Amino acid sequence: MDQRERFDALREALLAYDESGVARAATRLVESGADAGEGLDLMASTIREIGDRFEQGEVFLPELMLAADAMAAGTAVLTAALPDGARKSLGTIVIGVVKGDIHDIGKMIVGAMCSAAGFQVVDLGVDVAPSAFAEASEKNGADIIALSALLSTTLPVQRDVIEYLDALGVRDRYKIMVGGAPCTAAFADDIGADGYALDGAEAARIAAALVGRPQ
Amino acid sequence: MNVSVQEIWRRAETGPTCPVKTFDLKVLFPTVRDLVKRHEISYDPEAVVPSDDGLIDRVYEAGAELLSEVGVLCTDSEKLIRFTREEIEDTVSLAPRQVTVGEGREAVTISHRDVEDDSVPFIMAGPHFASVSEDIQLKVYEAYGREPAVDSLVLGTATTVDGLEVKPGSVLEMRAAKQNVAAVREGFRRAGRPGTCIVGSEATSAAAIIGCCGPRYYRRSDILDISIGVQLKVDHKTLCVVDHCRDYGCHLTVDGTAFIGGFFGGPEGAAVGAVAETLASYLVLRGEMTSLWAPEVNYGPGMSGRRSLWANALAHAACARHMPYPVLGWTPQQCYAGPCTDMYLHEIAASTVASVVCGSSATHGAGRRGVERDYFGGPLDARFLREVAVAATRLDRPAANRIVKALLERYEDKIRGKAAPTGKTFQECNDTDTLQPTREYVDLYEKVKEDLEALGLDLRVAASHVS
Repeated sequence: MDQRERFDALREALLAYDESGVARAATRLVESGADAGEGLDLMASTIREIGDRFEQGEVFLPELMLAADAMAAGTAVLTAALPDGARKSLGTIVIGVVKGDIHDIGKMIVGAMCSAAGFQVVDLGVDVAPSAFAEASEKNGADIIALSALLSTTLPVQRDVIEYLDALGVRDRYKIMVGGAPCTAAFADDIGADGYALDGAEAARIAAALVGRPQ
Repeated sequence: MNVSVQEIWRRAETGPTCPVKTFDLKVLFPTVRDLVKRHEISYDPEAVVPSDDGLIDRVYEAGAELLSEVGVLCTDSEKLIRFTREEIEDTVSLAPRQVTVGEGREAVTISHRDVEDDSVPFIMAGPHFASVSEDIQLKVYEAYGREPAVDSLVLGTATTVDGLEVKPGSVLEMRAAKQNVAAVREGFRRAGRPGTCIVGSEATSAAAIIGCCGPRYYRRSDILDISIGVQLKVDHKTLCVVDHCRDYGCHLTVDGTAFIGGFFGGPEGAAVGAVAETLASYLVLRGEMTSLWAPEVNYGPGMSGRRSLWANALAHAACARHMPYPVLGWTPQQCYAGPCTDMYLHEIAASTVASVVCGSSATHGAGRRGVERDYFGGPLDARFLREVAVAATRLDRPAANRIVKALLERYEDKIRGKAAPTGKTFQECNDTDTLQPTREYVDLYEKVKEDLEALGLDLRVAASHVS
């Protein structure tokens, strides 16, 4: 197998959402002495294709999530092979559905799209208290905290999280993004969030812009 | 062999263990994909209202097989509630064919409707869980109460109590929920229709829902709408609320959501998933009626796009042909456009025609995807809904399909382009002193009705059912 075929195998495994296949292909690349950074770039462009197809309604959420998992497996192998300081992650996003809300499909789409864009995503799940966002963000060295809410009654809890971080004196350490069906750009401004997105693809673009890496 | 409620509870704690993510990605999605392929179900953008009974029956078959193959996941115990195919059919055959809701002169019987049924559909109207400003709450409900087209009122969401912001699970949520139901009662009393059925609840916490079960709030003649969790899931809270509601004696409608683009896959999988969720909603929650919907994940929770209409119509038809349940049909509850726009009325018309011809009742709620405060048109929406729904009972499916496609051509590019018009709020669509719609909204309504008549919808028939 030549080098081109090894790269092709990595791409094919990712397009098949094959987590162990991606890890294997990435390992073979590293063992062959290929440029790990080139492998990461290939995975990034491939997963952007998958994200575009999701936006077009040709690929569905489970495939997006499986692709994100597969990408993470490949990224772990390839970044370990990079020289120190050459990690290619765009940053870390701590994401969750705010306290009182258990509707998580939007959060999963945003999480998967951000993973696809090259972020490390720490998913706290649903019904997440402000303190849990604060603790997880500190523990994981988050760059961005992403807050989701589906209901008009849970939307104000996004403000509670920001106020909680303010009260702890750590608000300025993070960029904060908000979203979810009842959320609007005006509401995001009103509560002092740094970014708002209508859907997953836009969320990934805004997240990249917030960390100074517009795509 | 039918399955008792107690047996469901037992299975929710003792069934096979399955982590949520495994269920979503490794169990549900591949099974749906396989069933869609095996039953040769494919999306046809030209047949939005399906005339192919073979396809409709295959969708039902695939939905029933999906439920028997994967079951329902209890997300608290992470155990699967499994059913055999025989248990599914035997238990669902016990579901009621009709139910009477409301009281006194306002009592209405909701019956199962068949595909191309000429019976007048049950009309549910109201803000439909969209936020309603506290200062206009009572006026909104009185306005709907004065409109004879309204068989039942689907309430809005109160997000403040005396100006204090409601937080989920807090005492303010319970108080807001109680005040909201009480406002509907008072509004309809003022309108002279005190026995009208209310459909709720907008509250999320079990305490708030259960706290509203009482003679001053939800009566036994009202309907509580309880959702089975998205994509064949249920949790302890839902089982508790349903058990309490059954004990209390109010009516229950149970609904499932099959997102297009979510864990069921594309529109074909969403149609299959919606059938499975409708079956599961009776097996697990024992509602007396059901509602199902298949919104798009990509364009916000609207349901008037082509793929969503196709999946909804197919699933409604499958349930109508194979289940005794009355299907209330949430199809047009949330429009992309705001009220007082052509697109808003076109969305209501397209969704209503598609769902009513396929065996559903009719409902409409709000614009702006139901998520922006006060973006519902009020009683004129309800009148329009009833007129279109009644006219749709005179259509066969090919005629309905022609009308729906013609309407889609008028607005679907605005969904794709995320360019649906903002429209106007309730306060802008109505005179809040007289509670009458504005001249502008009435003129638009008349213009759109002329347009619909030209497309072949006989709205004159409907007028006699409204006033």
